[in-house]
Amino acid sequence: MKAYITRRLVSIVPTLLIVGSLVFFVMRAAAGDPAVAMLGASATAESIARLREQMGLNRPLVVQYAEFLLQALRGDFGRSLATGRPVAEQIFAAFPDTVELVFWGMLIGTLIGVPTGIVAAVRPNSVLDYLSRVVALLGLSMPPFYLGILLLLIFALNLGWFPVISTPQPGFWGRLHAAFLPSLSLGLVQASFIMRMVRSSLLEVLQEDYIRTAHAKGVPPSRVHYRHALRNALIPVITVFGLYLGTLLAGTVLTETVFNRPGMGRLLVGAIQQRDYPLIQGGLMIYAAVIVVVNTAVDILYGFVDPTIRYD
Amino acid sequence: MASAGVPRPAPEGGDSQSGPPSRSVSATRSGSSRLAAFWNARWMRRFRRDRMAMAGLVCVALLVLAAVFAPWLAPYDPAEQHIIYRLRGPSEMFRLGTDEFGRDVLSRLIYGSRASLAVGLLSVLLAGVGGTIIGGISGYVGGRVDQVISNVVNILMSFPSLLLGLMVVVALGPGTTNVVIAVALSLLPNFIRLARGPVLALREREFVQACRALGASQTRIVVRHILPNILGPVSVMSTLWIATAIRTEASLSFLGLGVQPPTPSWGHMIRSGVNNILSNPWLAIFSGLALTVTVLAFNVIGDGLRDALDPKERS
Repeated sequence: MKAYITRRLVSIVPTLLIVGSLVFFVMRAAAGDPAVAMLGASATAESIARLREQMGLNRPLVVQYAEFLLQALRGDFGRSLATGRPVAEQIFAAFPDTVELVFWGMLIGTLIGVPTGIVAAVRPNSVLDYLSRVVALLGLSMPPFYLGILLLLIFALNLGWFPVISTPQPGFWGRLHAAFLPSLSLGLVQASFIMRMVRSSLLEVLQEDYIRTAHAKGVPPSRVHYRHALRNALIPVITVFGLYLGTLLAGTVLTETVFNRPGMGRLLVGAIQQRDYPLIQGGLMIYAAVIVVVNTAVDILYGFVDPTIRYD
Repeated sequence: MASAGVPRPAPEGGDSQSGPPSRSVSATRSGSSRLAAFWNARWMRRFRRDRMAMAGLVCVALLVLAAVFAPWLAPYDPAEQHIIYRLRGPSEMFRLGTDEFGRDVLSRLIYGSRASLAVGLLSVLLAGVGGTIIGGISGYVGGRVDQVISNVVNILMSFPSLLLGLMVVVALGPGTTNVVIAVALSLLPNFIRLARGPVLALREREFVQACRALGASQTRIVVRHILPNILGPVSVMSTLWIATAIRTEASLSFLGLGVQPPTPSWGHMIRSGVNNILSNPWLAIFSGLALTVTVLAFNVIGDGLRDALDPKERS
């Protein structure tokens, strides 16, 4: 088990390396010459040459690449072209607002998705099952930003219960109040994914022989469902948890735009629109790192939850 | 009175339970009986009974018609500006209202279906062909090549398609062609994984080994014997991924990084709906509805096909 965890942790390194390389070369392909990108098209050849020298762009690409990786490792992504402030500083200022959305979104998604998935699987083809499947299908098909717009129209514009521009207010309740609608729009979409996964996984487990045995030996149905079936059914759900978190994180890019809310997503999209390459580079790296770390954590958790997994 | 021809074995992996009635006596099947066999195949009958999937199919058919006949269906030119009627709600004159330039929303929605469908279909086609080739090579060649490809795919799969799409758009810049490439690349890992698995299994099957023993060339084995067997799963999943592709395109256009104005696109219309939500909420409502219905239609078709082909795994 220890070896398994160690191996999973070690595997983060090559993964981040591949992602880092991808980001570096994509950005180079996009920006072309960072010096030109920084000074603009009207700059003279001399000033570009001077900046290239300063930025170390005359050195071989391999050296620059190695330096980028080393700096990234230290959390140094250079300075933003637009504001001149360090990229890392801007990212870490925006990060908590996004994490807040992801946390509440995942919580809402799990609290709604898991119970409805169970109900749907335990009573397949019942009205409840049918209803929850239709709603889940709708949730899957509705882009998260559209759901956000509808919530905004109903609860902020018509009923006035929530602010239209959800800038976080000081204090726990202020933050929660501002985060509620964006989190709900993310969480409901998330619930659709989770509900479908729980349902199909539980349905499959309920057909296993050991479930029939449990029923036959007189175990009460609720105990069969929750003790015998659910535990096994949740294993595959946990494996895709990392994947769900990734989509949720990507969803915040859109949700933050709809609700005019500060955060990583808004920062990244703004950087893309302004062609602020160091900021884009840093933002993408942080997203990648979060996803890789979460996936590794889920893998390790999976090892604990599923005793049949081989550790060698 | 036995038939003259030697009975041909049923094609591998195809639906061999389709029953004998449509099989012709002669050695070669005519085109129409092939079609009949397809139509009467057990999975096809299951699929045709799926009312949700059929409704989805009708929706998609209507959408394709709308995209093709847009110039005849749209009441106005999608770019025509009626400045005095800016941001109006639905009325007799403009059935679904107007946007911030006084353009007719209904006409723009009809024309916008072209961008959504084109990006959705083209990117899935591109990713499907590319992914099948790469996944096929990975599964067939095996060894070190397979290991490297699988590892990269695993890493890319953990990234949401929107993030991958964003990355590619950053590299290529916005615009319709680039969005097709971005969406295709974001879907590519899925198709590689989808094609690789069955090829890996097929490589070891008796009929492939028999071909090899008979001296068939590698190319012939892959093109004639392996490829036809993986086209089924690939085409089914394609329908589901068209839904993802359309949603990714709309998301990119919503962020202003996709299809560029003045070309009408739903994602962009939703964005201008958000920007003008106080003056005309209908703009966002209608364009989002068009998008949702389209994605829903492709999703139910995909679900239906999957259920029909694999009745054990219902979702």
